[in-house]
Amino acid sequence: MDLAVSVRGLTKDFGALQAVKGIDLEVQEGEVLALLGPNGAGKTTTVEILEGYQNATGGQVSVLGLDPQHDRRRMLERVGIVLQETAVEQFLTVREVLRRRAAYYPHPRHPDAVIDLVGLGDKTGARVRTLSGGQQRRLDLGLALVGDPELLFLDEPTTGFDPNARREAWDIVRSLTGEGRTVLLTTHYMDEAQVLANRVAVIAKGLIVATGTPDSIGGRDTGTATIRFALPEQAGALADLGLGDVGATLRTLDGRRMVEIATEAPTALLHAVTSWATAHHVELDGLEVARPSLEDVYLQLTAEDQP
Amino acid sequence: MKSFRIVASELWFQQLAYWRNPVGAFFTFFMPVMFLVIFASLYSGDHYQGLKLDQYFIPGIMTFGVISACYTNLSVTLTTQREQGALKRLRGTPLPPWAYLVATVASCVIRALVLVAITLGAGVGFYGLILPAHAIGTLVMIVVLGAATFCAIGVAMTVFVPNADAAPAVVNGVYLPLMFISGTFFPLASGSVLAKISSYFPIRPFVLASFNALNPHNHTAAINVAWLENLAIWLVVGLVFSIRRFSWLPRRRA
Repeated sequence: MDLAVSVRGLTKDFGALQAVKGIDLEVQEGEVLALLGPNGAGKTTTVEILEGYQNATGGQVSVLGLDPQHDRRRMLERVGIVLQETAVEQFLTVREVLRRRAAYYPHPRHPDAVIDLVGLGDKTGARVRTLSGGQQRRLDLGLALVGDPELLFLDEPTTGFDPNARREAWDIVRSLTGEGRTVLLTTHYMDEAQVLANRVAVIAKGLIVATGTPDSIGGRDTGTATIRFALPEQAGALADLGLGDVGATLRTLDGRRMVEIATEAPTALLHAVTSWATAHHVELDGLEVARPSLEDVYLQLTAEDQP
Repeated sequence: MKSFRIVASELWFQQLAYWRNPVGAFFTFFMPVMFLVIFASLYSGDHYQGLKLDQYFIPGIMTFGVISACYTNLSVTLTTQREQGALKRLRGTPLPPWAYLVATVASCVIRALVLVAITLGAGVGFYGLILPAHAIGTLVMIVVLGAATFCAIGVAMTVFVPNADAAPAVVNGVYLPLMFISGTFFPLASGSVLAKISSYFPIRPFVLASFNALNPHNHTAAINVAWLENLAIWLVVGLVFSIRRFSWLPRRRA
């Protein structure tokens, strides 16, 4: 597998402030990588260096094998960039802005094919100013795609969207990755990273603090799990269940006494609990085994970053 | 000629967008024509250098039109596009930055030429302006040089405009006083303080060169070389400053 993006020891200083403190990052071809991090963590700076908007202070950066500064033009022929703000010429039609953009690229896609891809087929002849916010955002994605890019930068693509528009945008991004395109996505929505990304990198205080798949990052597939259920009436105390020594806690929630057990070995413990329940013909209300959510892991990883 | 095609394509879409925006087109074209009508009725019957005064102030109105179409338009539009992030988006595409600026400037020059044609046409048609045939070539040269100069200064001005809201105030604040002290709408006594001060700036040379080119008493279109030099110097100053300091990214930083 070739690397679409390779970053080694990247640093960026703004005067006395070091915004990026030595980042290593690799994005494989065809991969969707989500860069997660709080505001001010160095996320935008890192991406803008990859896009060639900013100079790096130190380290090596390669995008599609090119230097984003020195080979900027050649790089831009092969990447698509979607910025946070949309600013499309308001008095042109959807097809016109796509035709205008297509003229910039050596091997553009047909504007009409792009219009279909982003679901604006019935808006082809509509002026941009008449489109809704969600439609303008889809047009924005279309503009980034019309050059047929190998690599797509998406900067917080659904910030400010309502839930339906977000789902639509996700569908479009997923249809793109089906075509083998590489995507580097920045977001602060955990569900977005979970849904779209093959891999997540968490950035905090100018450093990458963890990378992994959305399901395994920060050890969330192997670390501590929580087993939870309502204490049945047949059991007067935790000891009746044979759970006296596993560190279970009892909390009253909505008038029910909930048992919570944090464990490294949920399988064996769950077996013990359910064996007792089946032996006593008891149904355990509210039974669940929970892994830390991506958000729990993210908050933990970036906790020190909070002011 | 890929570069040529891309500039032509940009130019086409910019013109299309411009003419579809009624507000922008209205102000660029309506204002000079309105000024023409107002001044013509104010100055009715006055004379200057043995000519009807219309012969003087119509080139002045033409100057005003060229400045609106080039300087004002460019600095306000580019500042707005910069702050909206539209220029930043462009820098994220393979469109060469120079191609965008060339198309944008060409767009302004086209508007300026249309305005010049309207102003002079109305002058000849309704106000007895004399347009000597031998003056036309010279006039076109002056207008193109002046338009280029005012475009260059318009681009350079964006450096001094911090945000889109401030653009009209800064841009007009600089040129409106200068336009009046340059004798754009009424003749200045040559050798007066205002005439001396304003001759260092590009507006007065442009007005005088246009007036002289159109002066029917001159058998050839006699142009003072110093005026053209002044315009050329401001063109170079504006260009160099723009190349060094023009910013594609918004001033406000997240």
